Amino acid sequence: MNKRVAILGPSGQYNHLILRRVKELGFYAELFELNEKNVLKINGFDVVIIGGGPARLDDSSQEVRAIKKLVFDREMPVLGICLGFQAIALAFRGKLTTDQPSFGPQKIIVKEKDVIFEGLPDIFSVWESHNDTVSFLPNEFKILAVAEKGYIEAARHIKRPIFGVLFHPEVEHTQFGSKILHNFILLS
Amino acid sequence: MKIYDKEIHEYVDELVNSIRKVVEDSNVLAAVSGGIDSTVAAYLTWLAIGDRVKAYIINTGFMREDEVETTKALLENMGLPVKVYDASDAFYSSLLGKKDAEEKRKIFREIFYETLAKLAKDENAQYLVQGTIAPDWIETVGKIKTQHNVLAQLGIKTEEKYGFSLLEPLANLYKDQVRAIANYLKVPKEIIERQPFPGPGLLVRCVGEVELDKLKALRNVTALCQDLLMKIDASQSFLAIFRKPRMTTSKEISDFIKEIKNIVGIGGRGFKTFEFYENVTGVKGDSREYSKMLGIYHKESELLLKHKDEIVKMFPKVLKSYIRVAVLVSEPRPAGKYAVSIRAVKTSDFMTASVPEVSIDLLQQIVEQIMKDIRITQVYYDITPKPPATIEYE
Repeated sequence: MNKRVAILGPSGQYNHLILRRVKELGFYAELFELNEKNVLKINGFDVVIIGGGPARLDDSSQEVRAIKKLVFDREMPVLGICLGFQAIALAFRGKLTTDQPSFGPQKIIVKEKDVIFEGLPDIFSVWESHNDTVSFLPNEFKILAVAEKGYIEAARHIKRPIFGVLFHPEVEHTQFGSKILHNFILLS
Repeated sequence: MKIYDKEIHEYVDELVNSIRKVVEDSNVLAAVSGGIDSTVAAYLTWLAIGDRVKAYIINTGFMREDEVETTKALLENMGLPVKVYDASDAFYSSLLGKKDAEEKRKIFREIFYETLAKLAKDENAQYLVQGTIAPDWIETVGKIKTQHNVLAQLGIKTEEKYGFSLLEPLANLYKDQVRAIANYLKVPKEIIERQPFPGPGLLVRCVGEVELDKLKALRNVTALCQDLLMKIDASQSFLAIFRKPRMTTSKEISDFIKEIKNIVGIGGRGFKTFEFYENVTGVKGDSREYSKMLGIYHKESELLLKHKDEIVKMFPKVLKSYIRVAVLVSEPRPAGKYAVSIRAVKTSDFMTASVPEVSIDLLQQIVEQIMKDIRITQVYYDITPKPPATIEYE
């Protein structure tokens, strides 16, 4: 149980809530700002969670550069939430679109019960807050869940423990949010 | 319940000890509102240093009817001695006529702390204890809105500006955690169960321009339906007042109505739409938006309310110029200058919030009470969750 969780927060309002949830689950956790320097600095942690934030990303964003360092220079399991997921997608040459903004409640449909969705129903409600969605992921990723409207809600790298979710598992209105975080942390 | 990774009694002991250590032999000024956060913060300090806590209720002029007296009695029943300081003249003279939400909050904060600076000097207090909790500073630092009690996190040096240092024992906690601590400390139920009320009070529920008449109407209707509002199955339910909105339409509004007709299954021309004059706050994708609110009317308002979740799921995509949607639940009457919005939300940590179902009967009773005030012409039920809206309007 003594897993150590590093949370990298790109100044999103829910980043502190991730810290709360992870501590409530009984793990050790620390919150850092997301930047290249901190990515190199976080040693002695078992897993990394990237939170959400207000930025609108493109390939040259500092958040994406930081994520590239994290996923290509280091080997820890990574879960990206909202902006964290968008940054992972861009780091692997995926694409974003502004066509599907979503705020508040949404239903998601689990397509593949990978580890993070273990023990959860196939359809449940989540809470979202995003202007951008991930519209394209390269072949090294598989889609784990989609929204009712069809856009990607969750995905993982096929070989490595790198996950992304567009919704916010850390907020109380997402069903099974803590369970998802728990599943992810325990896989390391 | 644990607080983070600690048992409650351990967490409370640590808080009390750290307050004692920080304060040493100084006096501490406590600004209490009767809400759970400021009460718990003052009470913890009282446990730590006893009578060196000087507790005050500041009457800002934006409190609800009888609030000052009720609060004073409750706190004194807990054993916390408290004085009342009336600063309403200072607040009114700087705030009446102001329109901008951020300006209103900033002026309020300025006067609030100037008042506290004076009281700290009178009481020879080197510290001010306040009930700042995590969402307060997260929203202010994240620029979602300026909370009236967040200073240190914004880099404002209170020692230089006001002559006191800040003590914020609850700054890492969320509402549900503070509630657990309050239960453990045996704080009276009326305080624990009291719904959150913003520091600037009715000021931020008097949306847009602050006028005395508008404020009085809001205070009156709030008092008229206080008990009925408590019957809504919500963590918070309150009223806000606006200038009577204007009827409006546009391409995106007609697209929106088309989508609603699909969802609800009613056709025809029975829809009316209203645009509010005042901008309201929201939070989209982690950043603040300050945008318009749309009111919709159809005589089958019950059907609109029944399908509210589908409507709000769809609206951000279609209705890009608006951040909130409210359903008109009163029959329009021509007289009256103001519209009132009923805002009810379910949440435990106030970071995200959903809108509860309300029976049409209860809604009609509330409407009936509100319409007793002849200054009111329309009543809405706000159906927007957080996000994209915030809980309050500004």
